[in-house]
Amino acid sequence: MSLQVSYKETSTRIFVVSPVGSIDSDTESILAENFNIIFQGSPAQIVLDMAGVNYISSAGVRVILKAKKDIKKLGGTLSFVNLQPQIKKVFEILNALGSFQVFASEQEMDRYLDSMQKKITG
Amino acid sequence: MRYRIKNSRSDIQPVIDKMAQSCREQGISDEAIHDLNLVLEEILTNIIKYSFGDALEHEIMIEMKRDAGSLQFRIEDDGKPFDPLDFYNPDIEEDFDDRRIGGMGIHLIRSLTDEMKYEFIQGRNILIVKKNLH
Repeated sequence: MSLQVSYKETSTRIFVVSPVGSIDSDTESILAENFNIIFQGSPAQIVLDMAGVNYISSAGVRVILKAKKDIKKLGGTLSFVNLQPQIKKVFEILNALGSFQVFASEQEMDRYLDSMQKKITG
Repeated sequence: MRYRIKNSRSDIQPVIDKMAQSCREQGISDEAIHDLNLVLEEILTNIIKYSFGDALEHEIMIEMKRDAGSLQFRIEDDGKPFDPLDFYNPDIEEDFDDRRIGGMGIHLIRSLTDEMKYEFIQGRNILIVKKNLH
Protein backbone atom coordinates (compact mmCIF):
# COMPACT_ATOMS: atom_id res chain seq x y z
CA MET A 1 0.00 0.00 0.00
CA SER A 2 1.14 3.54 -0.57
CA LEU A 3 0.57 7.00 0.82
CA GLN A 4 0.37 10.43 -0.78
CA VAL A 5 0.15 13.48 1.42
CA SER A 6 -0.84 16.98 0.40
CA TYR A 7 -1.58 20.00 2.56
CA LYS A 8 -2.62 23.59 2.24
CA GLU A 9 -2.52 26.57 4.52
CA THR A 10 -6.16 27.55 4.23
CA SER A 11 -5.57 30.74 6.17
CA THR A 12 -2.80 32.06 8.36
CA ARG A 13 -1.26 29.22 10.38
CA ILE A 14 -4.22 26.94 9.72
CA PHE A 15 -3.29 23.82 7.78
CA VAL A 16 -5.49 21.12 6.29
CA VAL A 17 -3.50 17.93 5.66
CA SER A 18 -4.93 15.31 3.31
CA PRO A 19 -3.22 11.93 3.37
CA VAL A 20 -4.46 9.41 0.79
CA GLY A 21 -3.74 5.70 1.16
CA SER A 22 -2.37 3.69 4.02
CA ILE A 23 -0.49 5.07 7.05
CA ASP A 24 1.60 2.10 8.15
CA SER A 25 5.15 1.26 9.17
CA ASP A 26 6.25 1.58 5.55
CA THR A 27 4.65 4.97 4.87
CA GLU A 28 4.46 6.80 8.21
CA SER A 29 7.69 8.68 7.44
CA ILE A 30 5.96 10.40 4.49
CA LEU A 31 3.35 11.87 6.83
CA ALA A 32 6.04 12.70 9.42
CA GLU A 33 8.04 14.63 6.78
CA ASN A 34 4.96 16.67 5.85
CA PHE A 35 4.34 17.46 9.51
CA ASN A 36 7.98 18.58 9.82
CA ILE A 37 7.51 21.07 6.99
CA ILE A 38 4.19 22.31 8.41
CA PHE A 39 5.74 22.82 11.85
CA GLN A 40 8.25 25.22 10.31
CA GLY A 41 5.26 27.50 9.75
CA SER A 42 4.28 27.51 13.47
CA PRO A 43 0.80 26.07 12.93
CA ALA A 44 -2.05 27.13 15.20
CA GLN A 45 -4.42 24.49 13.82
CA ILE A 46 -3.89 21.31 11.87
CA VAL A 47 -6.89 19.46 10.51
CA LEU A 48 -6.28 15.99 9.18
CA ASP A 49 -8.75 15.26 6.43
CA MET A 50 -8.89 11.46 6.65
CA ALA A 51 -11.36 10.90 3.78
CA GLY A 52 -8.68 9.14 1.72
CA VAL A 53 -7.13 7.06 4.49
CA ASN A 54 -8.32 3.47 4.44
CA TYR A 55 -5.79 1.92 6.82
CA ILE A 56 -3.70 2.93 9.80
CA SER A 57 -1.40 0.90 12.02
CA SER A 58 0.21 1.81 15.35
CA ALA A 59 3.16 3.32 13.46
CA GLY A 60 0.74 5.78 11.83
CA VAL A 61 -1.08 6.50 15.08
CA ARG A 62 2.29 7.27 16.68
CA VAL A 63 3.11 9.93 14.05
CA ILE A 64 -0.26 11.61 14.53
CA LEU A 65 0.06 11.55 18.33
CA LYS A 66 3.52 13.11 18.05
CA ALA A 67 2.16 15.89 15.85
CA LYS A 68 -0.64 16.44 18.34
CA LYS A 69 1.89 16.73 21.15
CA ASP A 70 4.06 19.11 19.14
CA ILE A 71 1.20 21.43 18.22
CA LYS A 72 -0.02 21.43 21.81
CA LYS A 73 3.36 22.87 22.81
CA LEU A 74 2.66 25.74 20.39
CA GLY A 75 -0.77 26.25 21.94
CA GLY A 76 -2.57 24.82 18.93
CA THR A 77 -4.73 21.79 18.27
CA LEU A 78 -4.91 18.92 15.84
CA SER A 79 -8.27 17.62 14.72
CA PHE A 80 -9.85 15.14 12.32
CA VAL A 81 -12.49 15.35 9.65
CA ASN A 82 -13.96 12.56 7.51
CA LEU A 83 -12.69 9.78 9.73
CA GLN A 84 -13.45 6.37 8.17
CA PRO A 85 -14.98 3.70 10.47
CA GLN A 86 -11.93 1.39 10.40
CA ILE A 87 -9.61 4.27 11.31
CA LYS A 88 -11.91 5.39 14.08
CA LYS A 89 -11.93 1.83 15.39
CA VAL A 90 -8.12 1.77 15.71
CA PHE A 91 -8.07 5.06 17.62
CA GLU A 92 -10.92 3.84 19.82
CA ILE A 93 -9.11 0.59 20.68
CA LEU A 94 -6.14 2.69 21.73
CA ASN A 95 -8.47 4.91 23.74
CA ALA A 96 -6.99 7.88 21.89
CA LEU A 97 -9.92 9.45 20.13
CA GLY A 98 -11.24 11.32 23.13
CA SER A 99 -8.21 13.56 23.06
CA PHE A 100 -8.93 14.75 19.51
CA GLN A 101 -11.56 17.03 18.15
CA VAL A 102 -13.41 15.13 15.44
CA PHE A 103 -15.56 16.98 12.92
CA ALA A 104 -18.43 15.07 11.45
CA SER A 105 -18.40 17.10 8.24
CA GLU A 106 -16.40 19.66 6.31
CA GLN A 107 -19.07 22.29 7.02
CA GLU A 108 -18.57 21.75 10.75
CA MET A 109 -14.80 21.99 10.24
CA ASP A 110 -15.15 25.20 8.20
CA ARG A 111 -17.27 26.84 10.89
CA TYR A 112 -14.69 25.92 13.51
CA LEU A 113 -11.75 27.10 11.40
CA ASP A 114 -13.53 30.40 10.71
CA SER A 115 -13.93 31.00 14.41
CA MET A 116 -10.31 30.03 15.03
CA GLN A 117 -9.14 32.36 12.28
CA LYS A 118 -10.97 35.24 13.94
CA LYS A 119 -9.16 34.42 17.18
CA ILE A 120 -5.74 34.31 15.48
CA THR A 121 -6.18 37.53 13.52
CA GLY A 122 -8.09 39.20 16.35
CA MET B 1 -0.93 -21.64 3.72
CA ARG B 2 2.68 -20.99 4.57
CA TYR B 3 4.87 -18.03 3.86
CA ARG B 4 8.50 -17.35 4.60
CA ILE B 5 9.88 -13.85 4.75
CA LYS B 6 13.22 -12.27 5.61
CA ASN B 7 13.62 -9.82 8.49
CA SER B 8 13.20 -6.87 6.18
CA ARG B 9 10.36 -4.36 6.43
CA SER B 10 9.86 -4.47 2.68
CA ASP B 11 8.91 -8.15 3.01
CA ILE B 12 5.88 -7.37 5.20
CA GLN B 13 3.48 -5.86 2.67
CA PRO B 14 3.70 -8.62 0.03
CA VAL B 15 2.78 -11.30 2.59
CA ILE B 16 -0.09 -9.19 3.92
CA ASP B 17 -1.36 -8.73 0.34
CA LYS B 18 -1.23 -12.50 -0.26
CA MET B 19 -3.04 -13.20 3.00
CA ALA B 20 -5.72 -10.61 2.18
CA GLN B 21 -6.20 -12.02 -1.31
CA SER B 22 -6.61 -15.53 0.09
CA CYS B 23 -9.11 -14.27 2.70
CA ARG B 24 -11.15 -12.49 0.02
CA GLU B 25 -11.25 -15.68 -2.04
CA GLN B 26 -12.59 -17.48 1.02
CA GLY B 27 -15.36 -14.93 1.42
CA ILE B 28 -14.07 -13.43 4.66
CA SER B 29 -15.59 -9.99 5.33
CA ASP B 30 -13.68 -6.78 4.52
CA GLU B 31 -13.88 -5.78 8.16
CA ALA B 32 -12.24 -9.03 9.33
CA ILE B 33 -9.61 -8.76 6.59
CA HIS B 34 -8.80 -5.23 7.75
CA ASP B 35 -8.30 -6.49 11.31
CA LEU B 36 -6.18 -9.44 10.15
CA ASN B 37 -4.01 -7.09 8.04
CA LEU B 38 -3.42 -4.93 11.05
CA VAL B 39 -2.67 -7.88 13.35
CA LEU B 40 -0.15 -9.35 10.93
CA GLU B 41 1.52 -6.00 10.27
CA GLU B 42 1.88 -5.27 13.98
CA ILE B 43 3.29 -8.74 14.74
CA LEU B 44 5.78 -8.74 11.86
CA THR B 45 6.85 -5.12 12.48
CA ASN B 46 7.53 -5.92 16.13
CA ILE B 47 9.55 -9.00 15.26
CA ILE B 48 11.64 -7.23 12.61
CA LYS B 49 12.19 -4.16 14.81
CA TYR B 50 12.93 -5.79 18.14
CA SER B 51 13.55 -9.51 17.86
CA PHE B 52 16.98 -9.70 16.30
CA GLY B 53 19.95 -8.14 18.04
CA ASP B 54 22.24 -8.51 15.05
CA ALA B 55 22.53 -7.37 11.46
CA LEU B 56 22.19 -10.87 10.05
CA GLU B 57 19.48 -12.17 7.80
CA HIS B 58 16.77 -14.14 9.58
CA GLU B 59 13.73 -15.98 8.41
CA ILE B 60 10.22 -15.57 9.76
CA MET B 61 7.67 -18.27 9.08
CA ILE B 62 3.99 -17.45 8.86
CA GLU B 63 1.32 -20.09 8.69
CA MET B 64 -2.32 -19.29 8.13
CA LYS B 65 -5.00 -21.82 9.03
CA ARG B 66 -8.70 -21.52 8.53
CA ASP B 67 -11.44 -23.57 10.08
CA ALA B 68 -15.19 -23.09 10.00
CA GLY B 69 -15.37 -20.37 12.61
CA SER B 70 -11.93 -18.86 12.85
CA LEU B 71 -8.66 -17.92 11.25
CA GLN B 72 -5.32 -18.56 12.89
CA PHE B 73 -1.83 -17.23 12.33
CA ARG B 74 1.24 -19.05 13.62
CA ILE B 75 4.35 -16.92 13.44
CA GLU B 76 7.76 -18.34 14.15
CA ASP B 77 11.12 -16.57 14.38
CA ASP B 78 14.58 -17.30 15.79
CA GLY B 79 15.01 -13.97 17.59
CA LYS B 80 15.33 -13.16 21.27
CA PRO B 81 12.62 -14.65 23.48
CA PHE B 82 9.77 -12.17 23.56
CA ASP B 83 6.40 -12.92 25.07
CA PRO B 84 3.93 -10.26 23.95
CA LEU B 85 1.50 -11.47 26.60
CA ASP B 86 3.94 -10.31 29.28
CA PHE B 87 4.29 -6.98 27.58
CA TYR B 88 0.58 -6.29 27.69
CA ASN B 89 0.45 -3.19 29.78
CA PRO B 90 -0.53 -0.25 27.66
CA ASP B 91 -1.60 1.87 30.63
CA ILE B 92 -4.80 2.62 28.86
CA GLU B 93 -6.18 4.88 31.56
CA GLU B 94 -3.29 7.28 31.43
CA ASP B 95 -3.57 10.53 29.49
CA PHE B 96 -2.60 9.60 25.96
CA ASP B 97 -0.03 12.36 25.68
CA ASP B 98 1.97 10.90 28.54
CA ARG B 99 1.38 7.24 27.88
CA ARG B 100 4.17 4.90 26.91
CA ILE B 101 3.48 4.19 23.30
CA GLY B 102 5.64 1.08 22.84
CA GLY B 103 2.77 -1.23 23.69
CA MET B 104 0.28 0.19 21.21
CA GLY B 105 0.90 -2.46 18.56
CA ILE B 106 0.56 -5.29 21.06
CA HIS B 107 -2.61 -3.77 22.45
CA LEU B 108 -4.05 -3.69 18.92
CA ILE B 109 -3.09 -7.34 18.29
CA ARG B 110 -4.68 -8.36 21.56
CA SER B 111 -7.86 -6.36 20.97
CA LEU B 112 -8.42 -7.54 17.41
CA THR B 113 -7.94 -11.26 18.09
CA ASP B 114 -9.79 -13.73 20.30
CA GLU B 115 -6.97 -16.00 21.41
CA MET B 116 -3.26 -15.51 21.77
CA LYS B 117 -0.65 -18.06 22.76
CA TYR B 118 3.12 -17.77 23.04
CA GLU B 119 5.81 -20.41 23.39
CA PHE B 120 9.59 -20.38 23.18
CA ILE B 121 10.67 -23.77 21.89
CA GLN B 122 14.18 -24.81 20.86
CA GLY B 123 15.36 -21.26 20.44
CA ARG B 124 12.31 -20.12 18.50
CA ASN B 125 9.52 -17.70 19.32
CA ILE B 126 6.17 -19.17 18.38
CA LEU B 127 3.17 -16.89 18.50
CA ILE B 128 -0.29 -18.15 17.70
CA VAL B 129 -3.19 -15.74 17.32
CA LYS B 130 -6.72 -16.69 16.46
CA LYS B 131 -9.59 -14.54 15.29
CA ASN B 132 -13.16 -15.72 15.32
CA LEU B 133 -15.02 -15.01 12.11
CA HIS B 134 -18.61 -14.07 12.69
